[in-house]
Amino acid sequence: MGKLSAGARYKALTRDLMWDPKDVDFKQIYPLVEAEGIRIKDPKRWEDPFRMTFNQYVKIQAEKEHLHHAIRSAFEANHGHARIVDSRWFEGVKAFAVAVQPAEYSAHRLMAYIGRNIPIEAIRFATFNQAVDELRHAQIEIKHYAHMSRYYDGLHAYAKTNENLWFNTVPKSFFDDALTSGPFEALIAISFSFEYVFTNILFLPFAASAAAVGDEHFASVGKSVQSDESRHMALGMAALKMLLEEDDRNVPIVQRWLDKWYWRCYRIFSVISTLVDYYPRVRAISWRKAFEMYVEDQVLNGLFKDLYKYGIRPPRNFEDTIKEKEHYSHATMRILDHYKHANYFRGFRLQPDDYEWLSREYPNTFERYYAPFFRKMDDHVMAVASPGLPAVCAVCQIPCEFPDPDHPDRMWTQYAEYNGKTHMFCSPGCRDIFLEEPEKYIQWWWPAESYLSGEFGPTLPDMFEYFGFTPEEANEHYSSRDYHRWVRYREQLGLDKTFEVV
Amino acid sequence: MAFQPKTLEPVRKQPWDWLTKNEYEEVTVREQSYLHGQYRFKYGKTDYDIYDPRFTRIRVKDWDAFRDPKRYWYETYTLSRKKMAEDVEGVFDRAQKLGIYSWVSDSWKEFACDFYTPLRHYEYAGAVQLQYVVRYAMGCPIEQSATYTAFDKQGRAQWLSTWALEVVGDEGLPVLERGRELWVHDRAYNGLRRYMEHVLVTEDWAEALVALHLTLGPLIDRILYQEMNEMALAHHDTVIPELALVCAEQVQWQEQWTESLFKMVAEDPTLSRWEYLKALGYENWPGDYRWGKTLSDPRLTPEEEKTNREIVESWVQHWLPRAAEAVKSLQALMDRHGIPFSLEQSVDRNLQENIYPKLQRMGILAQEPA
Repeated sequence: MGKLSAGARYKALTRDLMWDPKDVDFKQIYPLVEAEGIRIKDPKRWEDPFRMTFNQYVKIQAEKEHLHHAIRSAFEANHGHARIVDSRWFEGVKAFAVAVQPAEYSAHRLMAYIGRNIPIEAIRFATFNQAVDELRHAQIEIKHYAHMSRYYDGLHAYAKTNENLWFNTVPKSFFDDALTSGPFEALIAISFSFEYVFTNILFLPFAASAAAVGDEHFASVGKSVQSDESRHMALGMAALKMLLEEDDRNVPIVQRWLDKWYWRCYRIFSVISTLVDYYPRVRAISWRKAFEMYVEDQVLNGLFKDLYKYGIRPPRNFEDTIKEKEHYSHATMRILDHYKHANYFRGFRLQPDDYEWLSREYPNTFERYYAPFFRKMDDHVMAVASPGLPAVCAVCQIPCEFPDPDHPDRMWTQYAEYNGKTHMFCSPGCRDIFLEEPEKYIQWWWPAESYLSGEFGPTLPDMFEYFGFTPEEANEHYSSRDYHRWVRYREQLGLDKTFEVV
Repeated sequence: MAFQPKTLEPVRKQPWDWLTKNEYEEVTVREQSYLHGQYRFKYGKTDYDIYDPRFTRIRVKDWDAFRDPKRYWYETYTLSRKKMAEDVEGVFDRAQKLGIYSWVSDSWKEFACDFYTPLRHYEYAGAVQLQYVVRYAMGCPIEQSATYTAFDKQGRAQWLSTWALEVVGDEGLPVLERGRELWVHDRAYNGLRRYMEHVLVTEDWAEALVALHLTLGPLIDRILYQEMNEMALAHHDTVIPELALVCAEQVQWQEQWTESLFKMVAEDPTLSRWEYLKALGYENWPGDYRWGKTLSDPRLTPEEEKTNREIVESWVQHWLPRAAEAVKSLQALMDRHGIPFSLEQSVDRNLQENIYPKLQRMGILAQEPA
């Protein structure tokens, strides 16, 4: 019996399974394959770098699930939520939960769409594995906050929150943008720009902080998810090279997508910067250093040098992301503090050790531009709350309150006219995206406009009902019922005791 | 928790405002968002919302009410499939160590390769169109079952390939090439191949599920993974029946959940596509403020006039005769290899004993088709 090599065997199991249809037209089966102008000549030479068969997949993944859920069960049984160093951490986890988890779920549906519509079996096999992975991520994240929701506010109607809250329109618009794109653009958007360029910074620093503050459950979520992402990153890289090598005419199209999705990804990670720099009381790394390590060194200085030979240049506006690294988390935390009375996760009063850490990590910017803002909350935690509704960016949908990194005293807000109407953007990056596809972005859903049109009902309580939480679940953490419950819970367990050694 | 003080009670007994009875429901219900999709499709279905009830003709009052009878979520699914994968590997490993196929006649081996190997294309095409269902079906409960079923089909395509490549003979890759050749060009497979091509261009995701799991599946899978076992054993082939036992377990589940789904559909008297919004708590939803500004109002789409039962029945009437004919045309292959198995009898018996009674039980067929 002639045994095949592992590579040849994988190929035999996963290729040549589709055929040229005889009774229907190829284009009926793949109606979107030519829509975006991408040309594919000989996709058969494309390799899936991970070579995962069904059997390998279920065996490896079942093992990972087993390990992860054992950690989860231990955490739940042993009051893990009370053992972390400071309950404000969970406010950050709430933000992550309701923003990132639905995004995982969207990615699940999206990867199925990509695999169905791209007639390349190697891509389809990898994207379908990823579609199943994304469902996994959505579910292990839900299990994490299902437990939290039994002890903390803000999460109990997450589906409504995800559907209706202004904060969630940010990740939702990102994935909705990909879900309404053609299959090749969606592939570049998610597999390359999101997975390859940014997921390390999404999962690694935050998971490291989780471990540092004692949230073993979330640390395991982060590590277990990231172990799947390494496969997705490999797919992203291979998909990009395949499109670039198949036909020279693909290069400008791919460049346009890289320009768009680099900035799109970068902007939805704004809140991640606060989860790295602000919410954990014990930090693993700063956003600035993580950005230098994962994005500047690995991607902009590393990967894009390799792509130069294809005629690909670094993504448009990438200099802005570098300039903004010393401002990003502070400006974003300032936005969250402005609107913390209308959010399902709370802001918090900065503590002396926070000021000390932030000043040390951001010597050029924190004390000068941002500390005065946060100190306004020393007397009254709601002192900086903004009345009214924020004007948000028509592309990323974050309030237009980012400072221009070249002139940090001025706002970076940009304007563009289209069809007799003025549209507003948080930054040149988002403005440029709008100008490429204005017909798409004029369709965006703006909760404030929905509210004014009466969709949320006539009163403020109606609006909170629509958001899926109550005003008591918002505001500031150390003055909240969540904090007081956490303190009492720890007292009951005896965790408040400290012991001297003489 | 014997020593747990009373004050350590949680704030909420259940995590979500909606009742969940088990872990499966906890991670499944209300996963898909239903409202406020940001943009419409740039290509293709340009008038539709991202999750649009108009992707199918059937109407359901609560899309999130469907439950997988086996309650598979990722953890339980992968655990059960890991066991199956190990079972199948064990079967193949033992077959090679015992040299099972050296006791089997060449004529049976030739037949078995010609019969099972081309059907990896059938399984794979089903997996491809299920990915369409995964994208466009309404609600996580339904598409989650479709996701795992698609993965199962890919798995079975690989098991059939592994069997043909490494277990039954020492032909290696040529056996797969020959299988493909038969699938694409042989008269015996024409009907089945044509059927799958039409499944691949079926726009209504619910109709695709009918065509895969209510009509063709119960006919061909039963032969593949059950009825041929006896024939194989008579030819001293124990490998096929052992593999088929594992496959049959997957196939039973895919039919079981499809049956629950279409039973729910057939019983649902809902007339409007927009009824499900009430179940989600949006009974007074005035619609999206953008409709009339930048988007068309989807509620202006004319409502379907037939009842769900009539729609599903018309799908069954369309697909079932084609499925029966496609399966029967495999007789040419049996005859060529001198295998005394009548597909005509199998199909007719299966229709009478299983498929018609099931469709009647589900409330889809009022009476047997003429």
